[in-house]
Amino acid sequence: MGYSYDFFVAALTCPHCGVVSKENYTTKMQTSIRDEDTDGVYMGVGFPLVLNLPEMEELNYIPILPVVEGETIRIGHSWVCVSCMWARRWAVVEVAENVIQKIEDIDIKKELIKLNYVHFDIVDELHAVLGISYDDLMDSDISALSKKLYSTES
Amino acid sequence: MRKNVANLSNEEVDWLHRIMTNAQAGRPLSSADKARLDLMKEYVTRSPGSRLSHPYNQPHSLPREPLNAHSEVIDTNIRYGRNKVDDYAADSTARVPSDHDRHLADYHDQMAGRDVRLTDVSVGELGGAHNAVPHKGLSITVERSSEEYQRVKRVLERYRVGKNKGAADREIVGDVFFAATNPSGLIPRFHTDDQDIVRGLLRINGIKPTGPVLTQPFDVTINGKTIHVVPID
Repeated sequence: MGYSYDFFVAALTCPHCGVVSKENYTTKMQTSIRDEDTDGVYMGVGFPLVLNLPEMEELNYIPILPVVEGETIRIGHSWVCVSCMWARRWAVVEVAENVIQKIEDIDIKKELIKLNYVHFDIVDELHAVLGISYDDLMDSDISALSKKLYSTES
Repeated sequence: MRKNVANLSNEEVDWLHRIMTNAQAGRPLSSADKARLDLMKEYVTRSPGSRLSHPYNQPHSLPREPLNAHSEVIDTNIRYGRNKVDDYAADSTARVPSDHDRHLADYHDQMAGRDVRLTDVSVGELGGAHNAVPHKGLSITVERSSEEYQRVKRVLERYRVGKNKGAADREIVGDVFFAATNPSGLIPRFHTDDQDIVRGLLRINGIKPTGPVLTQPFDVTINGKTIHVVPID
């Protein structure tokens, strides 16, 4: 049995301090998206990744846009700048033909509505922007709130 | 009845295939299918060999003693990093350790001289006590099936501590909350680098888990039980 997570890795540029991240664990992009197969593996562009779509919510990914068969699947995931630890950053992980095609920094306010899934960490945006307590958020429809929050930003 | 490696019958596999196909097509589960799925999840959760299994049902040989003032409970991943590095040192055909493995191994080694402890679930996840020595286990003050323990677990589940599917993670954290201590009243210290655990526990405190708070130790209290969490940077 291995680690309880893997990592998405990419060289991500912090829009606040300009430092480019290492392609390793330091961005804290831990993910359980491979479920029982996790082993602390670094998953960057080119990594083969078969998504278990019916399990995505169980694996902490909130559905936003329906997946269209044959089209690229876009997943939002939070990351941390190791240099300035500045707030919460978001990246998009694009998967097509069971391979990671792209990982890059995004403005979640503009891009969320274009994602198929977003990590459960989106509750922190809802907490900060909407002022909803975490206790209330745990009973809320996170998907609906997320779509409502950023639907007019793009 | 003949079972496969997942310990499911052919009929159960066929049924699972059918409901997964339906789910992929966006068709909702019937109430009968949902009830059966819940039962199956419970069964799989308790099946040996599954990450979701309950290793505390499998006895291990590590000594169990109340935590003391020098005790540090560590998450499975920390010891796992040490073992990864050791495996490669002993066998160069093993997976080359990543900088993450080495980071956790170094963290593990910084605790030399402390009384390092692992929960029963962690010992199970490591593959047994031989992969956890020289550390000790810990004893808990209530039955895991008790209402008191289950109430804490429900809070952890509600806040998705250790991810939505993280039954094993919640057993680890649950055991720390109910660890026996000497003297009694000592607040157990728990070290982890698992972001789903750290962030979930911070949210229970009403704290937004971003920026420097992700690396700062904090206390969290559930139903009157408190633990001290040490996130690994």
